[in-house]
Amino acid sequence: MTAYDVKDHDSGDRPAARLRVPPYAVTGGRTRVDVDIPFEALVRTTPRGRENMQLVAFERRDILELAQQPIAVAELSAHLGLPIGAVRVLVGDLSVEGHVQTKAMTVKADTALLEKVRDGLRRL
Amino acid sequence: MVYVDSSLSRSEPATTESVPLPVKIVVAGGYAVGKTTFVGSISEIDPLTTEAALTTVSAAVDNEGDANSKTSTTVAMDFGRVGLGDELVLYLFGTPGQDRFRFMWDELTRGAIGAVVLLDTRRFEDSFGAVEYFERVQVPFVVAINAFHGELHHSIEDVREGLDLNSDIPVVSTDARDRVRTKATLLELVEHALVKSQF
Repeated sequence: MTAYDVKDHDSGDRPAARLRVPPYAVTGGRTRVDVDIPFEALVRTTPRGRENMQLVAFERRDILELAQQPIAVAELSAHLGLPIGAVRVLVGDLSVEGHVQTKAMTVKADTALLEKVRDGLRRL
Repeated sequence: MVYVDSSLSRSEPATTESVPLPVKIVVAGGYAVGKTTFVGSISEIDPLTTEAALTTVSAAVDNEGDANSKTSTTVAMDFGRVGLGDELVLYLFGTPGQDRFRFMWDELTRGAIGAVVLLDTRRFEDSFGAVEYFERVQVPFVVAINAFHGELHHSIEDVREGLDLNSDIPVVSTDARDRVRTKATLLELVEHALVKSQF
């Protein structure tokens, strides 16, 4: 089954119900919590992701489109109306496939970085 | 031409292919203390909301035979964004107000450069939990008294004493609606984090 085998479990005569695709369906039934991508991680579509954009569907394509400019995982969640956990799983998969890159802090902020933040704030 | 600045002859800006580094500050405090207002006053976008879905499937409930008996709760978190030049982008995340979502704080605090604990002096006991939390996880924080209508109902010293704060923790007054005061509060936090980083 693909990650996008989103089945309509309702009989089909309840159109309103069709709109309520549960979050786990979006991620192919997985609800793993070990996706270690911070909420503020910036996601950007790679050249490979742009090439393959027509080959992926639904939320995955939405992410590739939105991430042509760097965009945070939390922003993707807000724009797509998806829970952040679902977005993390999708971004994690896209990243493994080489369709997106993510960037986030991996170590505690050091003095040099904090000075840059301070200087950046002062310039606002 | 000898004096052409090489940067002017670049065919495309170097930033096109570079991604800034995201940094994060957490904005905590009691319910309705002004967290989203604080974030919104400095954010370059209208604050957005992200939701985390918490699905609790109870076997006992499922046995009742109702297919829709799965209980689903969402935790909403408001956040904003401030670009700090080409290299950095600052995200400000408000914590979920209710105490029962405290587990979410670990996730939000991971990698944060620090936290602002907003405080309403009429209900300053609402901020005990946040102060205690950031002390325990050793994340640099400042306490910012949100002066509603310009009034401080308690002095900064009262607040320091009331919260039993360590003397090195800055307590400032702010106005969540005012960009200049919000910015000053964030600067206070970053300065404090800088001092902490040198030890």
